[in-house]
Amino acid sequence: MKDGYVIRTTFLQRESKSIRYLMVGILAILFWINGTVSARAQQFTVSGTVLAADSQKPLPGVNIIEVGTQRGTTTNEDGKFKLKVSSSEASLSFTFVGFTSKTIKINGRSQITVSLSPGTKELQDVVVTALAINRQAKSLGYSVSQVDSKDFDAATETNAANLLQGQVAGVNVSPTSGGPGSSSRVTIRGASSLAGNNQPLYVVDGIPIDNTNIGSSGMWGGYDGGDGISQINPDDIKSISVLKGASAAALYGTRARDGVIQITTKSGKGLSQGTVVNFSSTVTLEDALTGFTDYQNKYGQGQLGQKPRTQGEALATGLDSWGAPLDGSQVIMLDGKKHPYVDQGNQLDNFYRTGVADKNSLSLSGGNKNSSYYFSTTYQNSESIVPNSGLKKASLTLRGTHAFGNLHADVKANYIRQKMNNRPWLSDSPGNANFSVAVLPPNISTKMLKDNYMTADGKEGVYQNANTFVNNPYWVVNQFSTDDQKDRLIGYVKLDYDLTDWATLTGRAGLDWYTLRRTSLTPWGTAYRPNGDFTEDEYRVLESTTDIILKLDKQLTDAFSVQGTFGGSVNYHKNETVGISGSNFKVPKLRTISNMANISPIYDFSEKQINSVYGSVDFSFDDYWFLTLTGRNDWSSTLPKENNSFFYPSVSTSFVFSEAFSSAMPSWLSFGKLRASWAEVGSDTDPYQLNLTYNILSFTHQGQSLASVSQDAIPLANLKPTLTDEFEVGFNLSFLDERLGINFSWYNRHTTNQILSTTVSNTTGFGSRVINAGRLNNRGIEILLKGTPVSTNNASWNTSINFARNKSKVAALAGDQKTLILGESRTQNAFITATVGHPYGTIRGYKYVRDDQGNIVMKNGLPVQSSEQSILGKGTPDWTAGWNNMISYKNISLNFLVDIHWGAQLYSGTNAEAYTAGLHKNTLVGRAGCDKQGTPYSPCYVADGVDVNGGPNKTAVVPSAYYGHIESNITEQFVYDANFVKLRQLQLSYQLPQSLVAKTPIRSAKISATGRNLFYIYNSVPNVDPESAINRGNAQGLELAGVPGARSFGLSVNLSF
Amino acid sequence: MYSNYKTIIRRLVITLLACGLLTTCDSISDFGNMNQDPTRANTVKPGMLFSTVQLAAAGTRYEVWRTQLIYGENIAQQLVDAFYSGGNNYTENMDWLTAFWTTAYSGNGNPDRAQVKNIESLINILKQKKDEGDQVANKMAAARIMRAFIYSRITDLYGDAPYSEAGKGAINQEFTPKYDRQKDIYNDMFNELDAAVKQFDSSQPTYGSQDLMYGGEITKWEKFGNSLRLRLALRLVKVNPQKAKNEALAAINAPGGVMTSNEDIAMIKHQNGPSSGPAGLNTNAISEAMLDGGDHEYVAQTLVDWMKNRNDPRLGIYAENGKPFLGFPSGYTSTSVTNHSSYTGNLSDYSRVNPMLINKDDPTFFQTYAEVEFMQAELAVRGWTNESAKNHYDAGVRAAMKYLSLYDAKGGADISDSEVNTYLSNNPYNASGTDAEKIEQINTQYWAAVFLNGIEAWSNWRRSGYPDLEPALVDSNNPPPSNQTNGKIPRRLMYPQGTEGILNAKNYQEVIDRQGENNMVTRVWWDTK
Repeated sequence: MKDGYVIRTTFLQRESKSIRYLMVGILAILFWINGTVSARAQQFTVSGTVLAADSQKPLPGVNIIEVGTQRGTTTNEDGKFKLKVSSSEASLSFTFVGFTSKTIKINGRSQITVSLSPGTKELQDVVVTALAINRQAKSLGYSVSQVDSKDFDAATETNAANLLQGQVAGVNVSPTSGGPGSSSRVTIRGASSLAGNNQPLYVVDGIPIDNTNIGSSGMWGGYDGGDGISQINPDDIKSISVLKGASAAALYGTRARDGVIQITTKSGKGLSQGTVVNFSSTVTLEDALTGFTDYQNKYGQGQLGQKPRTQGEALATGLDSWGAPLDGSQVIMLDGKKHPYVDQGNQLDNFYRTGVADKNSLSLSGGNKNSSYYFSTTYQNSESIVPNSGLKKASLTLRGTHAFGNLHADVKANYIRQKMNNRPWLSDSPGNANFSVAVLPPNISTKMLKDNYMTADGKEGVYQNANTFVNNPYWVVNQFSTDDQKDRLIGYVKLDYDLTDWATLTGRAGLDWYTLRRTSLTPWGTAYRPNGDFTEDEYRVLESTTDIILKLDKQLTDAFSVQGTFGGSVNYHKNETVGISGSNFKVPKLRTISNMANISPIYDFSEKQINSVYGSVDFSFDDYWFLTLTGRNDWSSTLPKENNSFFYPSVSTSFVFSEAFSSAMPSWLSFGKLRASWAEVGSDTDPYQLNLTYNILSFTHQGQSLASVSQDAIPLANLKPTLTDEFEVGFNLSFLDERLGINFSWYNRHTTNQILSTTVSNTTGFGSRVINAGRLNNRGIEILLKGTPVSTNNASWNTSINFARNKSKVAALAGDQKTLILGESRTQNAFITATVGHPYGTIRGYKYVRDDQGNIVMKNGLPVQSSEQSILGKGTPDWTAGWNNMISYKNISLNFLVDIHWGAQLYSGTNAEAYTAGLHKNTLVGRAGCDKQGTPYSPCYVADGVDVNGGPNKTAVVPSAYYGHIESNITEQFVYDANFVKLRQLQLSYQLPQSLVAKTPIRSAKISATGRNLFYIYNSVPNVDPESAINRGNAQGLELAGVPGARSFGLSVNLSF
Repeated sequence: MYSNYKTIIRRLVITLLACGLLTTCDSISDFGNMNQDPTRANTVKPGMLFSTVQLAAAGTRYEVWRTQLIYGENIAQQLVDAFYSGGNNYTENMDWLTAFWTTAYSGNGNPDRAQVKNIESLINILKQKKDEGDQVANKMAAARIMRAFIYSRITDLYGDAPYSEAGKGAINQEFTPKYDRQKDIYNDMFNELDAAVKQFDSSQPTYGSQDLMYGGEITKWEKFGNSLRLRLALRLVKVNPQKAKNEALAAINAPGGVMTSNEDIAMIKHQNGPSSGPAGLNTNAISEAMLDGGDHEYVAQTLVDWMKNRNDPRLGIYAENGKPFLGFPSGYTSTSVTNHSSYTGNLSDYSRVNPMLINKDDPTFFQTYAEVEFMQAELAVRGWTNESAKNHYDAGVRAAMKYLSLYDAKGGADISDSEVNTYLSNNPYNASGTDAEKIEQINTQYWAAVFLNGIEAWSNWRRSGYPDLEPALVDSNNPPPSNQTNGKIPRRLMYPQGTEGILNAKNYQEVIDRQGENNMVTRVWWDTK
């Protein structure tokens, strides 16, 4: 295949070129900027003292920054400081928690004394906004929520995205049901698009990272391959800032339509006490949180009310719990031996183990006025509750900053290696141990399955032969293998150059580059794949972002200042897959690709690029009225040339009326601000959606080459960008010396011209088509209530409640189309849809047919399925709330977080399977009348209901027929309200008193006990976790045989030296 | 390509300095050919598509398992699936009933499995090539015959179906294809087959070895085109006997004639891989399903008893040999059969399919010569030709026994001439019977000859009424829920109401109003009572 070879080498050349050019690029910036450095190395040293205005006592730890630069220092224990500044005309800003900030012009003085007045915290809060620009919270016209590391427990959580659960109003986090290393769906203010991925953009220290979910389970099974954010080490995170609305995110462009989650990691900046060493060690135990609480344990394995009489019957009925009442008698089971016919207790506890995770983190940081460094290393080993499944992760971070005169360099590299062992298969039965456990008859002991999982000749020891796609779970966990290893480098080089005291030029090149090496094995001897199959592949993903940004900050008059940010950026993303898949082992059990009788190559490639220019201007009047205007233009490679440019503006304003009219304000009002914003964001799509192409198949037949149409989606040649506009108003108020506060936002968002892959009739020859259509509205409110009921010298209690309600409505689809199918259940009778006039993500399916009195209408003794599908619920909650508390008394602190989700529904495939299997408690109804029967067995259950003529149902059926019919026909039976109130986190910490550690090298020591997901205070779904989802896609509201939700309990020690 | 940082920097500088902020300029909006997938072709050789269509028509595990092993062969009482309730006990399972539909039209997510999509694309490419002056007559003719074959199975299984507007989502931006009446589909298929057979031109190139069925042999294609036309003609004997006669006679008299030996059989030879599994194209789909997970099949009592009574040498080739043949009663499952009189106390006493027929490289048969002989026998009985019904019957039986050797190169499935002769002398053509008895005998042999082709066995039963099948003894005593046809043998598969009812709603409603409820007892147009 000469052609193939040529293509491959071109890619290799391209790869090495890109790395070479990256280096050249960085060097170019360095030299260019360096060249101008020497020209303006003019310096001035200022020193002084900072005092509290009321007590006139020195204030230690006050932050001092030269305005417009990143030069800064903090005051020492005597309130004194010394700082080299760019000129004798420089301005210094002094900030300190609990005091009003002050900006002073040096005016040639080398010695100054500054006094700070106690003031409002709200006026001083600084948050990280788009492009990692720090801004005063009071100046923002839109809502940004910031969560600091002290607010979450980094130690016991493996996925950084899950740290946001319950923390931020309007942010909804749904982990997939795969255990450690699996992905999480995060939506901010609901889903903005009908068919896009609806996931926020993740930005770490200003650099967007890749968050692709490589591999996910669907209706036919499969496994979740994890996502990008889950590798970020939670211990390195200093703060997470959530840009919720379009205005907040507008500067990030096309990919920020669904909001931005900006992560700021730790650095050594601001440390003036030499090296600080932090060490933390955590051990976490995990076990299944939810169980088969509503399973029956009265009847055992069998069919037609009979116990198995032969080994053959035992094997034929291994999926049926329609046998006789469990009476303790000796019954032949799958191994051909007699065992007592008794309940084995909780099969979930019998199969799953206690997961153990340990994590050790060491960080060193330090700095002086010119330089800082941060180094951290973390090693984590998490064993899942699924036997033989687990995650190992090592993370290494190095960050350094240094000021060369007016040039400030900030360099960071984060290397992560993650190894996943046996990602559990989910959803449909093949290779899914969870499925087997969920349908296991009450009397079959897991020990018997374990002892018999492999036959003498090394094949799967089947425990039933009714459906070979349901595997012996021990065969799965011991012999299947779905392993992967990700090696990832995230890093950047950032250079800031102070052109003047009010202008800074920044060049930044960032990179997220990883390889994901995967192995997937269906072992030789598996009942449904006797000869086995084996795939080896590797993904290589590169995401790079290069920016040049000019920042201007000019105090024009005493009252009026302008800040401007202008820049350009290039974002490039590339994804390449190389692999071999093989089937049929030649020699059993030899796990190497050359041992496969049939092999075929895997090769995939895609790339896209977005070029952008952007600008933002912030006006500030008298420090109480703020106005921000932004504009950005993106050019995307994925759109046709005539449509590939799109501009979007935003305007936002903030008015701090408590400052503007401070004399007129009542004394109980400490802070008050009104804000409003409007923005429009355009977005592109995935590459290669514009024209029909042909795929050369990777295999031949009888030596002949094969080809087919490539796409399953009908392409659209003149695609246009999707447009989202959002209007937001809100206020922030605080009262009684900030003991009480409220933030409120209302937003209204419309997304139009959506680039959708909408399902079409299969008779078109395609499964879907790409369209520009549809309108989706999201409207909602977010409320944050904060209070400090107790605040004394020794004790404090901070509490906050966040509440968010989002109402979505599908306003239009393509043309007169009424319904778009987003996903489908394995039973193929529940659909997740976008239906015009209804919220996004409705669950559709069939109902019982009822007469006027509400009686179920029956035909042949079985419930009749409604002829039409109805909307039975929706997969996303009406509202969510979190209640977060931090109580401290002296050295002890207690933190707990309650997370509430209300108004969503869930179609539970597990409960449906439990009907067919005869395991659901409801299937007990009607069996007693059948118990007394011998052989032959006749229909014996006359279900309540009316026949089609209106008279009472008189037709008797076999119970298994009745309940099996419900699974395959009546969707409504398995749609549950998925409301829950969960104790998300409970943490008790003890800070060792200073007197104890004073004589040791230890600077501080803390011990914490943390429980996560401890229990449901309220849960309306039987047998399964209401949070379990098949995947993280848009088809939320489907569940089937995932790993049970787990609760964890961890103990950690935190020492700093 | 833009993975090139020098260019990036240059463009940034150009953008910031030359273009000015927030204005479009060419250098920033031109991405070259970045958005063309380097791993895909913009056009392709017709032969490569044709091979794929042929393999797709032979089917993959996913839809063949459901359509045939769960429905077709079970409804026709050739096999019994003792676990999955479908055709065996008249149970509606939308997933299984619709698998053929979704896969045949669109590939069900795997474009290479799609029959309609790829054949329509192929014909479109050939049309363009013709316009450009290419010699595509033979390629077009073979494609038209394949197309008729593909749609004939769809309409026979489901009734009215998208035809004239189907598979043209990308070609004509046709997103909601109308359902053509089966009558119109048949008329057009007759026209197409007629035109296609006449279109062959020995002076023009063929697909050659890319043609996996006949290696580009024009005469064989003519025979298949005409034989298929004969099959379709006889489908109409109940609804329009005159049309049936006209088309049947046109078929046997068309250029090239119909199949005359087992050399002419329309079939696909398979190989063991590498493409296997649910979407595997290389392997025999029935074998794939039976070997990898779907082995719940027993040979049906109806077939075993019929063959036993006639001392049929094929029985030991169809069914597991080496122990007494015991057919599994239709309508029963591995659980409920324990209450049946035939139950010996051991499930494994029931006869399974002979492993010799279910190797992954065994062929898939689209139409056999034996079928063609039986159809000609029927033409004679009906008096539409003056030929000898007996001769055609004998030739049909002989061909049906002899062609089995294609299953086993080592001769394991060979039946000797003397065995055939003995069988024929013990079971001679019923020359003295009534026409109905003759037609029954011929079509029962037809049924026995299309073992493992349940689609054809079931369709031919529906149009001819033979073999005289007893409805399976099914009631709700046989869990899971069954007998959704009220004791009647199903007459069709069901449309995917869940998707068609939403995505093609207007046309779907129209067809339901016209044809009748979407269930398994509504009859297709040619299947009148």
